[in-house]
Amino acid sequence: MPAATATTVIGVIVFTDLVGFTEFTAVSGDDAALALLAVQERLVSAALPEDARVVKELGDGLLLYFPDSAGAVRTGMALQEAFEAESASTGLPLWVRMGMHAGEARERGHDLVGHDVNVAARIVDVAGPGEVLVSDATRSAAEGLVPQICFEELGPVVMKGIPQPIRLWRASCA
Amino acid sequence: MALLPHGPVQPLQVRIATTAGSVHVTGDDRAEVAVEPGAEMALTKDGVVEIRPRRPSSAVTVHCPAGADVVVGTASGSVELRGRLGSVSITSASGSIRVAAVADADLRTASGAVEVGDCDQACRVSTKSGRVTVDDTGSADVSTVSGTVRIERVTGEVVAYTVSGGVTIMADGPGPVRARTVSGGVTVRLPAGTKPTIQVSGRGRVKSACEAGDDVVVDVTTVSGTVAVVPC
Repeated sequence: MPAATATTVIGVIVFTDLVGFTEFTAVSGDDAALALLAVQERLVSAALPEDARVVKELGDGLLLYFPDSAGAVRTGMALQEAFEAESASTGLPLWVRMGMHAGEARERGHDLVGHDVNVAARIVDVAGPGEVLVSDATRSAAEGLVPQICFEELGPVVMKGIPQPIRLWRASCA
Repeated sequence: MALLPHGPVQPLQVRIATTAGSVHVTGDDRAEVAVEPGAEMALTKDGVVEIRPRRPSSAVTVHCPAGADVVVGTASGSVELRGRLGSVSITSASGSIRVAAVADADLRTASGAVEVGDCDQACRVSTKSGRVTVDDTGSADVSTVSGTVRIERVTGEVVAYTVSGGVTIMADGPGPVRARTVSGGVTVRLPAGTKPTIQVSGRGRVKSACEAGDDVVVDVTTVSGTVAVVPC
């Protein structure tokens, strides 16, 4: 049987997660949960550059693809600002955490799969609400191209299922 | 085994990566970095001291100059930092973290407990279900899903997120204090006589036993959790 062939995509994989969404839904109801997701969708759609895309929705989280690290980091930080502003004005708990990793993935229909996708999924687990955490690969590619953003090292992070520790950085506004 | 680091990284940075073994780092009056048997270390070209256990479950015990920066990544081992250290960053999946005295700290664990003594500047703590206690810090940025957080004294800005856990903060400074909760309870304690400006968004209950004023801003977002602002 011939090996499956799939297109390899190079770029940045971003996972987002809405902190406390399950509890918010339990407390506020399904309609409020849908409304919260609609706000998130609106803000993400407005912020994504043309060459980026929402690969898929994962309940309250998203899998995003960006062709370059600088664009991913810049958009991630802009999104956090937008979430914070919306939360301040509406009281909605738009407390989103993000994890980014630059590498390659295989296309499977509209989906992306592969080791680097799995790494990005683990990175978001380390992030707190309002944070953008990036792998060393992402930071290295973005550094110098995003002068308004600085990176603070978290160090080698041991992640479930990933053989080697991943060096992570926390992005913040300079 | 001991190394006398020299290189462009100032102050000295010690970087430890392990999986299951415990980590003990002591900052004391010495010039060199020393590791006890069970671990090995190497000096990078940047002057960073990298330390790893010889076996995954081996404990790592390190003595380094006071004020050194320390970075630790572990899956399940406990981490304890003694003496006075510089900027520290610790990430663990389930191990507990105990820090005595540092310049600033970034501490993350999914389920382990976190204890911080004195933190001169910024103390950032993130946990899902672990219990967090901080004795004294310059500023605090804490988040928990279901764990409890108790900060005995913070003299600067505070940001506290909780989903369903309880957060208690003694804010002894100009703030601002930002508290975010879905259903967890948040208690902000202020020095007697402090008159806060309390800003609220969301539907949860906010109770204040303090006279209103403009000494410190307490900014609250609550979905259904109760936020209490009380004098000490």
